[in-house]
Amino acid sequence: MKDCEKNPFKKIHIDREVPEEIKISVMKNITLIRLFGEITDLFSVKMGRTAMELLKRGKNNNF
Amino acid sequence: MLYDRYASKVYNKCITLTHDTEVAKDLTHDIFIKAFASISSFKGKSTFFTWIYAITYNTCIDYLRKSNMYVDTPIDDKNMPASNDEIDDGELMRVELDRLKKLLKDISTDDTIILFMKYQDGMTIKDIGEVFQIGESAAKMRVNRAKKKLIDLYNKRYRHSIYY
Repeated sequence: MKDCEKNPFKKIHIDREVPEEIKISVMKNITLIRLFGEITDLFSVKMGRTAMELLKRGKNNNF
Repeated sequence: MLYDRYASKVYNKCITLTHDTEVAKDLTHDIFIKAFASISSFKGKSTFFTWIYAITYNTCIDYLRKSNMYVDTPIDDKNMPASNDEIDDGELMRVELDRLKKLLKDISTDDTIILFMKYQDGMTIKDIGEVFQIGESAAKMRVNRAKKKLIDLYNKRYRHSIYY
């Protein structure tokens, strides 16, 4: 006798096909998260540089 | 890809736990986004299957709680002393399908989930412990309690009817 034939828990198991729309939606969102992460990285590098330049400028100007 | 490998298991588990295909779609989506966002937290201590199942179960539990569909474990049961009596799996395997479905609705959500993990997903005690973030002995005790509650309820509800 197969495992699923004697195990009632296995018989409860549902085996439906995953709708394609979920995959499309997941992929879209992962792309967005990646893009957002890259923008954040770029922004922090840019802002970091800007802050450093401001500090340097402040030193040179002797306000 | 991870999605192709696990999507079917995650989606079908969500349907089993929520009994709603539309909700299962949304939850599956959320589970994969969570998994992607927290992939760095996967340290390889457990298998990837256990890790994604932990996210699946926790996401489903959150949904059931928010929808007031979560059946909490009664306080008396939480304080129940650990039983050393091993429940024979054969007793569980003899429960008829339609009766099992009804019984699972009447025990706590945690107990249902533990029984699914053990007898539907074939997870080890160690894996179950990792999902619930408890030790192996505590996980073993919880599996045993869940089995006992289901068998007790079965006996109470159906066994006596033989004599009437």
